[in-house]
Amino acid sequence: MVKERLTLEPEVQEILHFIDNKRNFLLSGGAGSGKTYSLIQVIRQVIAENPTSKVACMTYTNAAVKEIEERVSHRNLNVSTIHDFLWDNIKHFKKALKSALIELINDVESKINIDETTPILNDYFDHLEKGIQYKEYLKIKEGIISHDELLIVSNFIFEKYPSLSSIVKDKYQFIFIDEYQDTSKTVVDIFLNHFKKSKN
Amino acid sequence: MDLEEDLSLIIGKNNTGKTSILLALEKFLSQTERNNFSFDDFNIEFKKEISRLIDSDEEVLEDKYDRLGIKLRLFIQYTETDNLSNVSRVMMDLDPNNNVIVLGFEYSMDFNGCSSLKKDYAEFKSTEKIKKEAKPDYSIRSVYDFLRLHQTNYFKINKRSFEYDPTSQLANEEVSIDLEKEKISISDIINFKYISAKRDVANKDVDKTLSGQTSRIYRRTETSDDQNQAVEDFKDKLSETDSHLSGIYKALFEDIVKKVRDFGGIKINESEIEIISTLQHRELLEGNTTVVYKHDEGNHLPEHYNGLGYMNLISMIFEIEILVNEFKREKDKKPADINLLFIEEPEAHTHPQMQYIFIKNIKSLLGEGIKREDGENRNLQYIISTHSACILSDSDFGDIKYLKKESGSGIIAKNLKALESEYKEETAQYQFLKQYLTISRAEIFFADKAILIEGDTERILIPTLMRKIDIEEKKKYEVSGERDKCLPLLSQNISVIEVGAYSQIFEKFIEFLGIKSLIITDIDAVMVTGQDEKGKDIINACRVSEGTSSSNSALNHFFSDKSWYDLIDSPIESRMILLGEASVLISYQSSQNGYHGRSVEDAFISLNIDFVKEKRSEFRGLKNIKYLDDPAKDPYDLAHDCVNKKTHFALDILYHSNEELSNWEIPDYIKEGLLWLKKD
Repeated sequence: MVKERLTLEPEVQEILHFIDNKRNFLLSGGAGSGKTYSLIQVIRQVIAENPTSKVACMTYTNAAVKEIEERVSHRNLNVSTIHDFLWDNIKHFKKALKSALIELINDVESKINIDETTPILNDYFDHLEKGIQYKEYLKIKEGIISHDELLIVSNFIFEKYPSLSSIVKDKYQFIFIDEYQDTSKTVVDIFLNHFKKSKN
Repeated sequence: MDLEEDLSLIIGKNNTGKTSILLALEKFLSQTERNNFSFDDFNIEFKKEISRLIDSDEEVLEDKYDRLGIKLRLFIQYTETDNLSNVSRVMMDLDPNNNVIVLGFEYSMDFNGCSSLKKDYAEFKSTEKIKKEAKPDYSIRSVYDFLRLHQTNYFKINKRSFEYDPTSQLANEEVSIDLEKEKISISDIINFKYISAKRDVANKDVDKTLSGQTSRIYRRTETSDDQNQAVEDFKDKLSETDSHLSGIYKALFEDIVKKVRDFGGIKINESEIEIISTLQHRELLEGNTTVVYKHDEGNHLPEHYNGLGYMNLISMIFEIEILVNEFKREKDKKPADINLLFIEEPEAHTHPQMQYIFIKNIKSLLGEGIKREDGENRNLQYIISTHSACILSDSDFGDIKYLKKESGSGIIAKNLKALESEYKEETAQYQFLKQYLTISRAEIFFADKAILIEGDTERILIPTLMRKIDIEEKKKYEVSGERDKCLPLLSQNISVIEVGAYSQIFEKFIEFLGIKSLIITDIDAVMVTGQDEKGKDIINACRVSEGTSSSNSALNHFFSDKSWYDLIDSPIESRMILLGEASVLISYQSSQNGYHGRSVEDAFISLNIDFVKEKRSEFRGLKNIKYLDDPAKDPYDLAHDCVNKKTHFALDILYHSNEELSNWEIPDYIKEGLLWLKKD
């Protein structure tokens, strides 16, 4: 049965109240004040109250992922690092990925560069059998991007295709981010700005 | 094949692949990981092709190799309001103008599979040879035997999502995601269930199909909704009964309990037993519910006392109820996005009245879709395959998918709706056709050939004319000693429909069906007999010999380029036309024994004047019978003056025929037409 909310900590109840009103929330506190504990309480309660909804929980490192998974696990809960979450949501859109990367490379303002003298053409990555890949290392000429580029490419794609935000919102009714202070601005941009622009 | 939002009715003649569609969906979409394909699921051409390939010495080259096997492609369209959560895993394009997902399923053999198959078969072949040498009466197993046993080693199931190309409206076979590799399950995207035609209904005494189904329904209700008051009540009642029964058992089994106790044990009370009642709610329904028919108050009949037709109908409703419950899925799982139910030939073991009831009610039964308490409702798409004209006659034209054999071995699925665009401005014609065909002549959809006739006289005569031709042909072949390569007309699947003078309306329809058709009509000769007060020509019916044109709208439509003289004089070859793939013969009177008939009646009288004269006093459809002896009256006059009622005259012919139907002749134009139709 659903655990009564009244038995929960006051700050957890407050968060749930925000959720009821479909508002985003930010929970801050000093080190060791129990933020992750509260987060887990919220996740448990949300799952109990919405048994068919999917919940995404992101954190910064693989170690943190493991820690959360150990404390709460459920079929509908997906815990991952921010990078894995983003990659998982964009990797199948091969065409969009290629054109985004090309556009970013040719944009002198962006931080993604390639060692070519002239702007690259639209078919630059078309010969790649595996398309654009995300790995631990960077090999841009072979279409392999790494952590920093992933964030830039993701931001670009989310901005360009509002439908992607709709998809992610359809997929997850709840998204929680742990260690928000360590999250890069490009990512925050996706969740706070791009998400708002899509339907519902 | 395009599927409709709710009902899609698949029709087609036998062997056009209705069941194959079901099998393909079932084998690819069922959630089991097991490989359900057998060698006999491949079509005959493919079997031949594959055996040729592996039995030949020719090397197969990798770059020339195409994966061989069975393929299924599902095109799924989504809209802005759809929840994309599940399909997002297989989506490949973010372009807002591309809203189609293509799921591809294959049971196929890749290049490596093909090479090892060739190698393994070569080994198999040589060992078979050795066996034969060792034992001369050993019969060598064929390539088919080998494949039947081992095909699963080489053919594999493969599921992919393909990129969709909105311009060509096809899948881009080059770009895809391997669903297995990416660990993407499609069970949340599409849920497929079916009711096969081989339902386990039989009204045998022991068989309690319906009663068995009640426990299945109960089991579904129980898992899907543990709050259900009725279920709780049921359980409460059971424990109440349990304690009641336990009391009764005590008395009932007192004797045996005492004996056991007296038999003793090592210690006191060790062999003390008690028999108590433990009613299991599920098992209770399994063996102990009986579905009875409430004939009237006080008369309940057991299920097997009822007709098979009713049992089948009710069983089907039970089955649908079970499946709809299964579509709802467990409480903490949402139903799939697409819920597809296939009902195969609901008419099996059901008589026409039941089929009528079934199709009338199925739309409202399934129209509700999948309703859950938590509001996660879904639409239900369902496919019904049928070859029952009764079901068809009461369904909507727009729901119908017609399976049609193309030249070669291919079959295509056509939307009957597509016909509407063929008729373009002629919407009245289309409306007429729609009503006429579904209400009175639905069987034409299942026919191999068709005869389009003008009216009553032909309708009465045609079956007998076909029989007469069958008898004559049989005799002819007996005499010549040859074998007739074609089936007798009455053994062929020929549909006869009355079209009056409207056969041209059926032109596009015949083309759509693509079936060989014979149109029997009349030459309808007319001449100008004068002018009215406004100076317009007055046109009247006349003998063909006096005629200057035909008033038959079908002839004027199909042969608009022919002059009157070409029309009456034309041989059978020039009376044939092609409508798409359908060859059509337009048959009308031609000159025979020096007389050119204008209608069936005068053509018949001219040919059978002795028969008519002989039977004149018994014919009921004749008047002025003295004219028959008047040499001044020709067949045209006789048909005009002596035939009182055309239908009676036609019935007179049938009634006075001898057993062999040999005391009269068929006018040539009809005979030629029927013989032409007989050929394949």
